[in-house]
Amino acid sequence: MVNGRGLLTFASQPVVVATGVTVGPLEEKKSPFAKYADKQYEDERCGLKTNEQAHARMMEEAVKIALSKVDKTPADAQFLLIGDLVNEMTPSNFAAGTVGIPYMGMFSACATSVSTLLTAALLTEAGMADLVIAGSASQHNAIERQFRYPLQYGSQKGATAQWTATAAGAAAVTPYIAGAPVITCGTVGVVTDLGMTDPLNMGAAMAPAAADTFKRHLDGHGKTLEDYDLVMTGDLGKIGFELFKTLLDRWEYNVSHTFRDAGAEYYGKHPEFLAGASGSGCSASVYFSEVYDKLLAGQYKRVLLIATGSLMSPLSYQQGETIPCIAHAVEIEMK
Amino acid sequence: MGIRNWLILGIIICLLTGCSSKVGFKTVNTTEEDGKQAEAILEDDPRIKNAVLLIHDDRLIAGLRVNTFDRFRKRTIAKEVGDQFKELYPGMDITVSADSKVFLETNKLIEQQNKDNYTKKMKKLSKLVKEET
Amino acid sequence: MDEKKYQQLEQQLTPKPAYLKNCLAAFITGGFVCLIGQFVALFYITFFDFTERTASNPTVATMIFFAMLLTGFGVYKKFAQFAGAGSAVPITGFGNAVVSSAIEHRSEGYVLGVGGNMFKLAGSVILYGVFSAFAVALIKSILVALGVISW
Repeated sequence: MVNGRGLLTFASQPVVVATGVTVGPLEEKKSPFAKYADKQYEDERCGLKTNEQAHARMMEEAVKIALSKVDKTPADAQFLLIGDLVNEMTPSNFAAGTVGIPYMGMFSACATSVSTLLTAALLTEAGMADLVIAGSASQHNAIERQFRYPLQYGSQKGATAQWTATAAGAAAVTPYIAGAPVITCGTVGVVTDLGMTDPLNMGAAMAPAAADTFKRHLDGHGKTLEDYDLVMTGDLGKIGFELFKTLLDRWEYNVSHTFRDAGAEYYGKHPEFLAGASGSGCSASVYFSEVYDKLLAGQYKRVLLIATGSLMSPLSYQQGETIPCIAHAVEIEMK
Repeated sequence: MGIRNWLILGIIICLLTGCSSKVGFKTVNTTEEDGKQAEAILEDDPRIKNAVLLIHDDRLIAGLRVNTFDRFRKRTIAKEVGDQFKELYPGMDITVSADSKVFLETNKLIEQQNKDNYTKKMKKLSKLVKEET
Repeated sequence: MDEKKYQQLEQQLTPKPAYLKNCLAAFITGGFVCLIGQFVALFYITFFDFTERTASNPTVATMIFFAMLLTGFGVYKKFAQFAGAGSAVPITGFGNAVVSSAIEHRSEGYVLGVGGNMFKLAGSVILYGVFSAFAVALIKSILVALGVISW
């Protein structure tokens, strides 16, 4: 059934049967979300030699935790769909190599949490799988060196700068089981580029993409804002989130409704993190821990998760290119 | 906040006491030559605020300290004064410098009042001043 | 919404950098770094055979050494977030750029990692520093040759 550009509806009602979330040491100390995580590491490198190895380890652990919650082993899963932000996604590749699940790496920058979840739901919907793992991760040290300056380089950051979170989140998707949150529909984003060029203000670059996907999702699936208990964006940060709400306000949506942003809330009230968290682990770890737990507890009935990603590389912005951005939306409902 | 306040106080005291070297003008002359003329040249120059002058054997060393904004031209000033000295005392080995090393060391020599040391130390200072970079 | 309109909106909602506060912080901290440098220079002048002119070399080396220690302990980054230009302009900022790159690339080995990347930030400082020194010297040489000024 074709129902529109980028619109996905899952009639078979695939469910998120379990999740696994791991966070780093700084997050454990400073983030209000850390208490929802399944595992907190005491060392940013997880006791390993390099940051990239730690990055892979965190993803791997998150996958294993998600599987163990439904008494499964990696051998029981048919597909593994994960991604991250490092060049060629080596941490995900290594993690996939260790767990040995048939693997497709997926890149949607910080929106990977939702793009993998949508693909996992599609595989389940198609009847080709009864257990798919979706997820994404980021590790502060590994990502900062990829996109910005060396870690210890002293450069003054403005209020719009975000802090890459050290976190990983994985979700196990299966065909319908009663009592688990259902992935009812989703919307694949369109690359939106409104000419933003500052890589230290990615929230502002991503906000239009999030607003666009939000509108397309509501219009395409015939929903209203009041259908949701929560609309949560990924890592727009404090300033990007304000921009997002301003854009929606111009389209005459009631922005006083329950809107949240994972990145803006990620480090609570600690001012040293400036605009908040970013990274593909940020949205994954919040969606698959706090939001998932509250869905299970019945606190939320239906949520719309819009993960946003800026699809640039150090090369592209040094060449003066603008920052293309994407936002994918997934609707999860507790039946 | 206690430590921070003390730190700020300490820094302010350091800053305020920084520019209060009260050496004035000093001259030590162990030779037959007339040192008064040289002293007059130094004292009459409005750009020089402190100076130490040591004349011993066939050597003359003058360490100058110039006013804050004349520091930009301190090498020119030292050269001018040196040229005047060379006219006054032909045949003497003359070192004039506005470098604080020369000022400090010459002052130390004068205060120690150990005349046996003079020649050796003066030679060394002249050599240091001539060193490039 | 078109690009221009969005950029206007973005400008409205993005907090302006506190230029005055940043300037003040840079002035105080930059001056403080130089004060420490002055003490180090004085130390070399008083206790070793250095003149004011020759003391600058060991002073620079010592300041870079301090910056290296602070970078390694992770203090310099925090200092820089507050100080801004006050930490970047003095020689310690150069030291920080070199050392932070070296630490960062330690995991790729000594030759291709540390050696190859150590100057990836500081390299441009060296290049344009040498080039501007050359340009200034050229201008001065021409002015001296024309008799406008003297050495």
